[in-house]
Amino acid sequence: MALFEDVEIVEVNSNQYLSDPEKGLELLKNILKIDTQNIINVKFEAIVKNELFPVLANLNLGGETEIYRKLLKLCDKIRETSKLEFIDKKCTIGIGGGFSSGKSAFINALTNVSLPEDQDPTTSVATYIISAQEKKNIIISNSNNFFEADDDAIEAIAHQFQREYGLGFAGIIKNIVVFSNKFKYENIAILDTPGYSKADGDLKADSLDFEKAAEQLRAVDYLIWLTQSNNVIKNQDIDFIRSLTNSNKILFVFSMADLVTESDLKQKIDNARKRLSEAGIEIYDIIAYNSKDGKTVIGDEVLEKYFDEIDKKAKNKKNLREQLDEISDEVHNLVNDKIKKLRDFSQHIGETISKVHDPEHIDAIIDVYSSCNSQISTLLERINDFDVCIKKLCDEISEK
Amino acid sequence: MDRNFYKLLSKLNDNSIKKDELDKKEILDKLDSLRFDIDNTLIPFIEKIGYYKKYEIIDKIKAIVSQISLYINFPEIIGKTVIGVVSPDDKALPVIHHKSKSGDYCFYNIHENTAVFTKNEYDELMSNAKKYEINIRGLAYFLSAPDDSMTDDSVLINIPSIKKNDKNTVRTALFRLVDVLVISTDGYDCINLFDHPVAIVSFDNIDNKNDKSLRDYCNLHNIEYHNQELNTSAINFANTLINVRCKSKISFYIRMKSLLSELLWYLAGEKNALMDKFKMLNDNLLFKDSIVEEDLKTIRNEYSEKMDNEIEKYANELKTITSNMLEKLDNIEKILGTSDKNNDKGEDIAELIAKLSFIYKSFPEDDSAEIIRSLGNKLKDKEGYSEVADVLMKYFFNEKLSKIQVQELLNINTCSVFLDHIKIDLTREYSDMEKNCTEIILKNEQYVRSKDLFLIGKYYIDKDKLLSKKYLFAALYAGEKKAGVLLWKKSKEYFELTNDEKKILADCGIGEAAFYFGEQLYKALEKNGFPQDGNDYYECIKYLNIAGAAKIIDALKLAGNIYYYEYSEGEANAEKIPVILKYYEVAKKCGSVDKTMHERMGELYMKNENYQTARECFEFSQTAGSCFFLGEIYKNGNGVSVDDKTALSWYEKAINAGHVQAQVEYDRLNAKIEAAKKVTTTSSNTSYYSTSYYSSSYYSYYSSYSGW
Repeated sequence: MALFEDVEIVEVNSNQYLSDPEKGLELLKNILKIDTQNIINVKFEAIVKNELFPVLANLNLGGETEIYRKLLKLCDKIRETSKLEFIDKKCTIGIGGGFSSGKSAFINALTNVSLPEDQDPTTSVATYIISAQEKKNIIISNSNNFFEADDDAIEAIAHQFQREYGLGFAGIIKNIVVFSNKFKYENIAILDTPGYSKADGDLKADSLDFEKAAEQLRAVDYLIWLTQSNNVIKNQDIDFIRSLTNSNKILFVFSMADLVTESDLKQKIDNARKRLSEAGIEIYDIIAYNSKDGKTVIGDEVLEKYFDEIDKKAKNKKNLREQLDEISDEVHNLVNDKIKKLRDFSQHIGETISKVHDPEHIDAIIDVYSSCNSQISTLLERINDFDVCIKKLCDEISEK
Repeated sequence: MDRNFYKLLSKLNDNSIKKDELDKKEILDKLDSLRFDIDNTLIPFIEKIGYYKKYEIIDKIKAIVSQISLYINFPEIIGKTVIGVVSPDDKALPVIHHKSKSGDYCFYNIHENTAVFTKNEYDELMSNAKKYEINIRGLAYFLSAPDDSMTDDSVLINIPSIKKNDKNTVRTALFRLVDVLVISTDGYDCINLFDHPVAIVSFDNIDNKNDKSLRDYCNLHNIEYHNQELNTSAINFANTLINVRCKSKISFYIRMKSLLSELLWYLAGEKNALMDKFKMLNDNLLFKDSIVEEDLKTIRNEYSEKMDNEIEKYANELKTITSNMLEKLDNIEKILGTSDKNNDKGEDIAELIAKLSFIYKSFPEDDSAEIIRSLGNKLKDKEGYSEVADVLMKYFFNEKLSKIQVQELLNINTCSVFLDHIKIDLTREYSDMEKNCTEIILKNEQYVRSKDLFLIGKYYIDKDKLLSKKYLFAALYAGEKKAGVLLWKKSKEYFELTNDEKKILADCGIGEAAFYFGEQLYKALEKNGFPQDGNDYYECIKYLNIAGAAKIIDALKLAGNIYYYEYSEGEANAEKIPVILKYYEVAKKCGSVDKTMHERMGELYMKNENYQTARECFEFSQTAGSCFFLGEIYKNGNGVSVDDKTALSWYEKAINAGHVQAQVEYDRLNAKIEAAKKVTTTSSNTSYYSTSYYSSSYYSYYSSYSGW
C-alpha cells in the first residue's frame, strides 16, 4: 500500500523493515527509546488539578463545571500536542466514528494522502495530516519520543509489521504526523483516530479504546463523525459524542455512499437529523460521501464550505496562552458579576438595617449582611489565589 | 536472526484475554461496568457539589478503580505488606517481587493486560532486549517476578527513581499501594507519589539535608520513620515491619464509602448551617417589623429552596448513585477476597468509622445511638479493641475521656474526615495548649471548619503576624465571629489593621468595629444637627445598629440620641417616642448607668403618661432635670398621691444642682403651702378669704416689700 499516490504499490519483501528482522528491531528500538528531554510536562496538569481546581471549587461560581471542562480540554490539548508546535496554531478537525466506519478512506479522498484503510485494531494509530512544503513523517511514541520515519517505516507500521512479526504498534505509538504537500488547507490539521469501539461494538468491554479515542477527540477543535451508509447512527455513537463535550457544531457523514441508493440515503439523513436534534447534539450538516470517487453524493459543496470556514477561523485561532487568558477572563467576569450582585444586595440590606428600630431583634438581618460581606471578601481573596495559579500556568506554557 | 524474540515481544504486547483467563474476564467486565458508572454518573454528579476538595475525591475514586484492576491482575499483592524500594535507576521497569509457587514472570503490559512468561522465556526476552537495546518499559508498566527471599506476608516493589512529573496512572496506582517505603533521602522529591505509607525507612547518611525533610514529613503525617545504613539492611529491616497497620487491608468498599461519606458529611454540614440561619430568620420574623419582613421572607425562601432543591436533593441523589455502585464494588471484592472481615484492627475500625460517618449527619441523634452502641459492643469483645471501642462509644455518649483514651483515638489510622474532626475536638478539650490541635489540623489539611481556622490563627499570634491575620480573617469569613473580635482587640498594637480592614470587620458584624465607624460618623453629623440627606446618616445608624445588636451600650445610646434629637428639635412627633425608648431600654438592660439617658427616658415616659416608670428612671438618674421632674410628679400627684413636702425636697435637690425652673416651682409651691397654712389658721377665726388665695397674695405682697 502506497503512502503517496505517485508511488506504486510495492511487494512486502522490498520493505527493509520487513525483509530484515534486525532492521525491524532497530525501528522498534528507536520508537521505544525514552527521551527524557521529551517527557510530557505534566506540571501544567498537576497545577490545574491540584491547585487551580480547589480554588475554582472554592469560588463556587455556578458556571464552574463548564470552566472545569474547558481547563481539562486545555490539559488534554497540551498532553496530546505537547511539543507539536506545528499543530498548536492550527485548527484540528477530528475524524471520529466506530470501527470500520470509513475514516481513513474519507481522509485519503480529502487530503490525497494514503493512510492504510484496513487496519485491524492492533495496529491502528491516531494520525495527524497537515499541510507542508516538504513531505515528512514523524512518529511519536507513548514515551513522547519523536522519530522521523521514512515511508517504509510508516508502511510497515500500518499493518505489515503485525503480519510479518506478530507485533502491532497500537498502544506503543501515540501519534503519526504526516506532512503532506498535497493537502491544501494550511491552517487545518486533520486527526484520523482509531475507532472508539472494537468490531463487536461492545462499549463497556473496550473502555480503554473508548478512553483513548475520547482523550484524543476531546482535544480537537472540530469534529466530523462518520457512519457507514448501510448503518445507522447508534445510541452508543450519540453517548460517545456527548462525552466529548465539543462546543462546535458537528458535521455528520454517511460514508461509503455507493453502497446505498440515493433515496435511501436521503431517508437516512432525515432520520439522523431528527434523532440527533432530539439528543441535543448541534449539527453543522449531514452529508453522504463516496470516498472511492472522492465525491459528495448528498450535500454538494458542504464539505468545501466547512473546510473553508474553519481554515479562515484558524487564522484567528488563539494559541494556548490566549486560550488560558480567555478562561481566566471568563472566571473574572463571573466573579465580578457575583461580587456586583452581592454588593447591591449588601447595600440594600445595609439600608434596611439602618431603618430597623429594634436592636434586640435585628440579629438575623445583621447575620445576612455579615454573610454577604464575608462572601465578597472571600471572593476577592480567592480570585487572587486564582490569578496566582493562572500565572503559574502561563509560566509553564512559556517554558514550553 | 532468530525470530523467537519477536514472538516473545508479541506475547508481551498481547491485548487479548486468553481462554484460560475467562474467569478474569468476568471480573474485568464487572470492573468496566463499575468504571463506566463512575465516569458517566458519579463523577459528573460530584462536580456539581460545591465542596472544595471534590476533585481530590474524584482522583481518589479513580485510584481505587486502578488499584482494583491491579489486584485482579496481580492477586499476589492482596493482603500483604507492600514494601516499596526506590532505586536510583530512573529507566528501569518497576518489579514486584513475591513468593511464587509457579515461578512464572508476569508483565502488566501497556494494554493493561497480563503477559505470563516462564523463566526461560523471560531470560531470553530480557537478554535479547539488552542485546538489541529494546526498552521493555515502552511495552509494559511493570513486572511481577518470583523471589524466594520474600516472606509469605510481604511483597517488594523495586521502584525506579521517578521524576515528580511522571504521570503514568497505572504505575502511580501501584505506588499508592506501598505500605513501607524504603528510600534514599535523595529520593525525597517523589515522596508525594506514595499516598502516605505507614512507615518510611531511609538508608542514607543522616546528616544529609533531605533526612530532616523526610523526618518532618513523617512527623506531619504520622508515619513511622526509621534510618538504616545500607540499602540491603534497610530492606531486611522493612521486612520486619509486618505488624504495621496496612492501608491495603482496608477494603476498597470501606475506602469508597469513606470518600462518599465525606461528601455526605459536607452536605449535612451545609444543610445544618442553612438550617441555623433559617431558624434565626424565622425567630426574627415573629417580631413583626414590616421593614425587614419582606427581605427576611425572601432570604428565608432562598435558604429553604437551597436546602430542599439543592442540598437535600444532592444528598438523596448521591445516596442512590452510590448504593448501586457500592453493591457492584462489594461483588467485585467478594470475588477478589478483599472484603474478608477478619480480625484485622485497621479494617474493623475503618468500617466502624465509615458506618458512623454514614449514620451521623453532624451530631449524634437519638435513633442512631442504638446502632453505635451495638457496633461498639461488637468491637469490645474483640481482643485488643476494647480501649478503642470505649473511646468511640464514650465520645458519642458524652462521657468524660481520659488522656490515655484520647491518645488511643489519635493513634487510629483511618481516612475518615469525620473521625479526624472528632480527634481535633478531643485534643482541644484535653490539651493544655492548643499547639497539638493546630498540628493535627495542619497535618490533616482539613480547614473545612471555621473554628479550625480560628484555632490556627490564634496559634500563630506572636509567632507569625501575617499568617495569624490570614487565618483569622479566613475564620471570620467562614462565620467565626470570635476571630473578628480577636482581630479587633489586637488591631492597634499588633495587627496594625488598615482602615479598609477595619471596615471589613465592621461589615462582617463585629460590634466594636462597627461602633468605631458609627461613632466617627455620629460625631461628624452631630456638629450639623444630624442632617438626613446624604449617605452618612444611614451609614451611621447602620453601624450603630450593628454594634447595638452586639450589646455595645454606647452604640445603643448614640442611636437613641439621634432619634431623641430629631424628636426634641423637630416636631416632637409622639411616634418617635417608642423608638427612642426602645434603644435606651436595651442600653439599660445591657447595664447602662448613664444619667442623662435615664432622665430622657423618664421624660418620654412622662409624655406617655407612664408615670411609674418615669419616676423610676428619674429616681435612678437624679440629675437636675430628673429631680425637677420628680418634684413635678409629687406636686401634681402623677401616679402617686400628691405630696408637697416630697415635691419640695426634690425641687430643692434640683435647685442645688442648678436647675432654674425648679427654683420657680419651688417658690410657687412653697408659697402655696404657706398660704394654705395661713388659711387654716385664719379659718379658725372665720376668715372670709380663702386661705390659699390670701396667703399667696399676702406672701407676694410682702415679698415685694422685702426691703421694708
